[in-house]
Amino acid sequence: MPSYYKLYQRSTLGIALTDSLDELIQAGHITPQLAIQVLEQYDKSIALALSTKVKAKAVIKGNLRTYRFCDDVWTFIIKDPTFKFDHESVSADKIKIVACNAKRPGE
Amino acid sequence: MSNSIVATIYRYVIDDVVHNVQADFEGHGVDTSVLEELQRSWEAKIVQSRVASFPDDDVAAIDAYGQPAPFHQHGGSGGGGGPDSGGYAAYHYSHHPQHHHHQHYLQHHPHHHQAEQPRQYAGATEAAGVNSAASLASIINPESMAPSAASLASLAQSGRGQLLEDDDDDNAVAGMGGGGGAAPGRRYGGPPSNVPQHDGAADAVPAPRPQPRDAMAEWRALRDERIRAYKLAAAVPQVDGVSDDEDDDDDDDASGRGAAGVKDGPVEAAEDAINSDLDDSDEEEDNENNEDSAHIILCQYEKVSRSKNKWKCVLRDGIMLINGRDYLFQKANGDFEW
Repeated sequence: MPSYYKLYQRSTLGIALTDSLDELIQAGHITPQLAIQVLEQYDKSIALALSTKVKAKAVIKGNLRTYRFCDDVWTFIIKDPTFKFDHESVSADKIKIVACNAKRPGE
Repeated sequence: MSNSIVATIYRYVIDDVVHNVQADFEGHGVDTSVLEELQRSWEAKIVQSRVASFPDDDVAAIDAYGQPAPFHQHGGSGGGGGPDSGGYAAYHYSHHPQHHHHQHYLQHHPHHHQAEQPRQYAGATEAAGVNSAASLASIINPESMAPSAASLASLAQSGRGQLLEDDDDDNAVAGMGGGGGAAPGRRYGGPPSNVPQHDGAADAVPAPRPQPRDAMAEWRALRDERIRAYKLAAAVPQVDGVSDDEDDDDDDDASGRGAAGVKDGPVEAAEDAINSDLDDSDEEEDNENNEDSAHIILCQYEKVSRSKNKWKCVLRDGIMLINGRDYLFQKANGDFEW
């Protein structure tokens, strides 16, 4: 069985799930093992949803402030980024990008 | 609007996860009502976070009754709903608790959402300190077993709240310093073997069945990882410098050279020497730290290349959190200048 990145556990959806699971653990309704199984399923579901259900494309521009490559993970901090989607543009003062290798080891 | 697909995708993921873990729940002998509660709680948190455009009906339903209307019954986007109709706990971004919403909500469901209450206050500047103090007190007092479970959650929440929200509210950092700082230390710090004894998972939680410690430790480790990831995010620009020194670098470089050499040895001094060229950017990066968790892209890279100061990145499968909204992309090209 292929493994999936835990990266997306840090997203809004992942944090919400982890919090909900933690509440159930604290209340004694589920065991941590079960919670971990749920998170593993989440890793799989979100990865598949992103790769098969999402069609949006984006262009990101900005000034690269900090870059780091460690353990096969790129981290960028972009100053004054602009994001162009198909029908929408968004800007921010700064954004952090955390990117895992799209080619997982063993693939 | 790119944001509009987010709700659809999130619903799909929630449904997919819930559907696929049903067998796991059965295998553990856990009632399906718990799984339903998980789904309800998860959906509610996402709606409350307001990162995506969910039908206003869902939001209003949560406000009024503490339970979201089932996602699937609302096909289109609702038209109504006031600007504050959802805002009792946008747990990432709301710095202003709306107390009347709380009370209303808690009156209706005081029991179900006991554990969610701390979250709502964790985002509040003035309430967080009180909450943390109360939580600590309840931990110290070994007799208050039932509250301490919620308190632990609130401690953890305070910690995360601090990490997430210290971008634009210095008072929050100061006010939550005790609770927020103590939470990771007490709960997540130290070797795994210490964890279960410290916060007393076993004594605080009346678990229906014995929980092997290593599983609890593993769960904690996962959370620990997440918390650390936030800290790491905040610490990235500091790694190369005198990370924990709040003082001006001028002090270190000018007068503190000799002392630093004696105290910390040549390695530290060498870092100082390298870093001394970067005094300006250090200050700016201090500001950057605080905002790291506010805007973030989680994705995978296919290619990263550089030519002189131009960087090109081909990214895919991304989740972006920008200005409190989530965006998704299948593919993104990044053009950056260093």
